[in-house]
Amino acid sequence: MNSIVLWFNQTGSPPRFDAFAARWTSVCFLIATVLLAIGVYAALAVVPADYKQGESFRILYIHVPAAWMSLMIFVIMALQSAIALIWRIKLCELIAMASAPIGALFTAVTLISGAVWGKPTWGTWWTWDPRLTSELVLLFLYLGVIGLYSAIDDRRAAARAAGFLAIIGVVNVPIVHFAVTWWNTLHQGETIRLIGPSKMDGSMLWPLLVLVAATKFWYLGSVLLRTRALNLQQESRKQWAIERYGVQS
Amino acid sequence: MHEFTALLRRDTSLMWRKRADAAQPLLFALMVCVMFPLAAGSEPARLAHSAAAVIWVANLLASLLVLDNLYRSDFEDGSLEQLLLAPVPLPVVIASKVAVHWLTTALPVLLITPLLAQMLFLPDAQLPALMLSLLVGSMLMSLIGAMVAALTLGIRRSGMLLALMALPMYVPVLVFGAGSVWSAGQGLPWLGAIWLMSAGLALLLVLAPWAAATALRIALS
Amino acid sequence: MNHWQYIALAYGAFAVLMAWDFIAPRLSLRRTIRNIHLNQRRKNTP
Repeated sequence: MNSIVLWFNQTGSPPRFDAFAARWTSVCFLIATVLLAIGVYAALAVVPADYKQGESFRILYIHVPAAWMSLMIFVIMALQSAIALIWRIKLCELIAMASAPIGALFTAVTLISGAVWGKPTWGTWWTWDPRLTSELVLLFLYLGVIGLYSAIDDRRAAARAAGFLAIIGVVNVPIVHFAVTWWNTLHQGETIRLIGPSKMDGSMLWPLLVLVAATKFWYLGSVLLRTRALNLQQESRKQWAIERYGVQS
Repeated sequence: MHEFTALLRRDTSLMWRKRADAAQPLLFALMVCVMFPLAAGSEPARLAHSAAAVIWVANLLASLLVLDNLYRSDFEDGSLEQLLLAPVPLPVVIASKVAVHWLTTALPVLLITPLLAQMLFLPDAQLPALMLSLLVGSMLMSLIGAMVAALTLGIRRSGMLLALMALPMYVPVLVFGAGSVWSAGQGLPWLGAIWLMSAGLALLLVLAPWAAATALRIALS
Repeated sequence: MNHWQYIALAYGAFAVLMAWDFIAPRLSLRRTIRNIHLNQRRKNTP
């Protein structure tokens, strides 16, 4: 068995994962905090004001990374659930369920920051256009997954049911992404592209990229921590857990 | 094929014995369409403006109301587990349930829609769009509901959670369905949305029973 | 409200939600470890 597969196999075992997560959570959070500090400082103090929108466009530096994370996390959640359902890997169930609250949080940040940005810029807190509506639907999908997971007593059956809901709901993610091209909406079109030139100037773009990286590291740290917590909750009666966390001295 | 008809006959006779339950969505839709004018004032012009939306939402909520009944009685007396073990493919079992469910809960509401439209002073030009969009939309909602209801089977008093889970999936159906009626009201082309919904229906007619079967196996495992 | 107040609102909401995401799992982990601890103590004292 090659070493990568071996690593995945070993780290998937509950005690190994607990140690792995305990070590890497802090590292990820540290990197995330540093990047956040740099990005937020740049967004607020370094970047020049937009000539059309004035200062309020600085909210974009929160809004866009949060929006991308809200979509990415849902896809990860659906993928992990699919792996868990097909190959019955317990850790993937836990990773999926741990991702749900983080994704809901980023979706909430997206919606709130979008509303706060919309008021001074376009005069309204909210509009029922396809992109905003489908992002709101995404929040409800997250809440549904979280609610279903907490409503079933058997933890493994709960993770499978909620994971299946996530798989059905992932259909909404392309709708959110393509809403701006399929319909004429108040929300602006694509400004930043992964491939090809972006329409945003470099001097304004780099803090955005820093914050995108920051949120990714934050997600990594948070999902490791939450998965570790879920893992330990379910394994708390096992021998390894008692040895590691039992009577200390 | 004759297994499917046997299942249909079983589900129909079970539904017939609880036909008072099947009348719930009908009464609910009727009530919403009575309450709305009482709340919004009885000016025909104002009612006509939102008539299509009210009828659509009443349909949607009525569909949510009875979603739990789809599997509940079979689950409670253990026959659902027996059906899981039966040599009949589970998607066929579910297709039969959804068909009977739609015929007994959604079709009656569809049949009284012209009456509801009259009560809310819906403009005549919008009625064909309303009927057609509700026809396709109610089938879509039954199929989507079948997938989602399977997941909450083991949970007691899961009504609100089921609604929370099903609602986001219903939103596209509502947007396209009610949107087509709005377009008809503006004199714009409205069949496109119906075609889109029908395409979704064709897809879900195949996918939803299979997905619901998977969900049932997950919920009952 | 001038623009900086809106910015403060948005960034503030962001900070609050991130803080919640930082604290909540740590509290849950602490509670789980404490439970293991207490259960073991309960089993050890006859």
